[in-house]
Amino acid sequence: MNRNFKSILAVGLTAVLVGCSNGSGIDPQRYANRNVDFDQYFTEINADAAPAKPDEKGFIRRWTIIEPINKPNSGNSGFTDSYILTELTKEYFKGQFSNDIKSLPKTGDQVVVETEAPRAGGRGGFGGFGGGAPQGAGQARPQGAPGQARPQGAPGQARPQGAPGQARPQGAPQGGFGGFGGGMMGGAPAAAPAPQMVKDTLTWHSVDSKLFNIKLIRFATNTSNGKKRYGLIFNAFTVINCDQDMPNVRLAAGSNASSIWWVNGEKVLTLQADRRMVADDGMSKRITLKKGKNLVRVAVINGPGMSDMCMRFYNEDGSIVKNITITNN
Amino acid sequence: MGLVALVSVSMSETVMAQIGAPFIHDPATIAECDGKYYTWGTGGSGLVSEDGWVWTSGERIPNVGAAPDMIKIGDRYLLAYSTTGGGLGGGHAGTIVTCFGKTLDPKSPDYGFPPAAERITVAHSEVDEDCDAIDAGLIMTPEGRLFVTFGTYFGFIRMTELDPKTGARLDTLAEDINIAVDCEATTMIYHDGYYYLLGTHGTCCDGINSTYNIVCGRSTSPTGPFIDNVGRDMVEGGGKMVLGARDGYTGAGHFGRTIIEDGVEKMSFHWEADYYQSGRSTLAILPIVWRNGWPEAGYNVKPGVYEIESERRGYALELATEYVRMAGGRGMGGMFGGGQQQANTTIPFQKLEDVIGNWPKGNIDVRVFDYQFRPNQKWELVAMDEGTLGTPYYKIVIAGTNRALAATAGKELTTVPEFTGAPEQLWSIDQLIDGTYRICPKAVPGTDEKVCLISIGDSNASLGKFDFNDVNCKWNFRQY
Repeated sequence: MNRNFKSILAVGLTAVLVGCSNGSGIDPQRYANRNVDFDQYFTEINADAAPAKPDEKGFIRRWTIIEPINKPNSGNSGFTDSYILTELTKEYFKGQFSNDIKSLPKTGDQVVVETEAPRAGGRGGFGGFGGGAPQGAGQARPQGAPGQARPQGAPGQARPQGAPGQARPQGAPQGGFGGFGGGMMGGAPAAAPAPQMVKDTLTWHSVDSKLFNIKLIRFATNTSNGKKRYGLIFNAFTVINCDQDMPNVRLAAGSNASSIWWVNGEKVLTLQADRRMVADDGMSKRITLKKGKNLVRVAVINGPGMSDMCMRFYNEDGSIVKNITITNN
Repeated sequence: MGLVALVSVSMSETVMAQIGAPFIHDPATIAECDGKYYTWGTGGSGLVSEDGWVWTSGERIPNVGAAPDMIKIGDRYLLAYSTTGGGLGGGHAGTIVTCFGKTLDPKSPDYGFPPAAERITVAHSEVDEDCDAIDAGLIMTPEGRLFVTFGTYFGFIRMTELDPKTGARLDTLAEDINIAVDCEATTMIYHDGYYYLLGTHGTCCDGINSTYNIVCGRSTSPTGPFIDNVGRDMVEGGGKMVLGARDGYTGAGHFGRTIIEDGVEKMSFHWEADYYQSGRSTLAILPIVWRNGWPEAGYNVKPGVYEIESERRGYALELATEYVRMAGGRGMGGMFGGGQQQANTTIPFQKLEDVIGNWPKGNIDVRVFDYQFRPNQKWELVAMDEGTLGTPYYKIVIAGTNRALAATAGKELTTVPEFTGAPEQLWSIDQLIDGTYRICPKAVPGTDEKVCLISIGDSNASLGKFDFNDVNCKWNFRQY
């Protein structure tokens, strides 16, 4: 695909994606979109944005997410219950777990945290399996066909002014995992050497997701110029507004990888272990969403690989909760 | 390590992985060529089997990367694989490549796949996008359309249509279609009006801690959406379990289907860890059972003592020996009102030694009769170190004896007083797609005809041609 065509395609895809967000018309997840820029996944919103509704399947797409905290686990297999409880309840900054809705951070607010420095170096490649790519021959792809190498430095579409995550990730990972001898999925995090600590300034972003699932990895890569991708802890919150008390509802969530979910300060769901995001993977016990504002917090940890999450509420009778609004304050 | 040692370990445990040296990761769908079976894993490492049960190292296909798949189209074999594989923490630039081969037999003069430079790229992913183009899976639809699915845990599973004549991408302008998310090792199959997308969830490559498991969704269209049993789209992570772990084996992944004939289907896959073989990754082949429109991994019959029950009537296969009444009360004391205060005792079961002395010494016929857990109705199955695709041959003897079920000339049945290992005394037992079993002799004296154990009437058995739609061809193995 030549660069001009790709830009045209990207513009077109963006129009389609924006026009079809929140589920109307063509499903933006149904066809390949190789553009991984921020605006393919999120719309950044202001603090006074009008309340949102759940999408047609009830998924909550409005979240306020802080740029991720480095936790450079080289694998996901050590995400035991005790490990994630320790790591996902560790306070990195004041107010991280506050339940005071009146003092919630706003998009653009910043905090400074001390975190582990990212570890350098990749893992082995797959070359050992003998996979020789066709040496330039094979079937030449026609102009504009999908599946051509992305041109150097062409991030698809230009980003809007002021949007986070302008550039393509610097040093996007080139390595692969090597061998099947154990450790490909990583060892236990506890085996890591004593980490080097660094100061990191993190910014809060209120966003509406264009997909039902919140692509945390794309939030990370786009808000860090590609410096953050794997080995991260994400913290996010959303505010659920109810016209009346809603007893006996259940929070249903999926995450990649482990996560802990709180509603109004109460831990209601833990998704432990190395896991993929699956809608309704876990559900809470019956909870009550009270009349007025309800604070939902989530923390997600992932080592290498995709990271994302999704969440919605179910009524006791199995129907999806839709009669709520969602705000970021 | 010698083959004998491996065989003895496996046979003493169970029949859920192949025997020999079946060590492989990411096996391609089993392919048959000139009476032999073949598969290849990541890196192109090959396994070959003469009978489908005992597997040994085979020819490696050069320049094959991760997780190949294979499908026979006409008289040629289409190979698809990925040249790369970034893994969770690596880059995600992947390329799906196809090429044809004329034969899978390395000794054939026609053997060979084109050099890497002549193979065809049909799909790709870039270093950084929500897809990692590895783990190709091929399907030929009943209408003759060829599709390849690909992708891994990093984002979407995608598909595109290929030209069955060339193996190339059919529409080079068409975008790939997203059909699932965050799984691996996908492939599609067709069954009874639905296309099923099978993928592998869970943790790969973590030895005995792997949680790899095979799931599926289905659609009436080959391009999806694929919906699971609770209405979830596989793009939302949905998937109904086909197979996860079984005692001693963890991490089922990389599904492939082989249809032997109507009603007899097998799934090939790997166990991430076989506890009985040092936790190594091994090839396994199990029956596919379709239950309520969904595929499940079935069961090979474990060695043990069973009632062999006819699906036709529910009677039991038995040795045609003199019925020996048991001593004891009529048991009606309580039924008609008396004896409520009488203490209960356990009536001893009839034992082999109670009756065997009166059995004829030579061949004895079999028949089918009400099951009363009598010694002439209890059959011991012992798995042998040879078999057919996915199932060992068994010797079937009256428990406690060496008297073996055998096929006779004229396609009838008998039992011989001593098992000798003759082909007519070896039986393949395949679980059918409805969960019942067929029982077939390895050979019948005087004929090459393939037959199976059949009910004739309610109370007799014989050998006849297998027909999945004929209840007389089906049996169940019961343990109480």
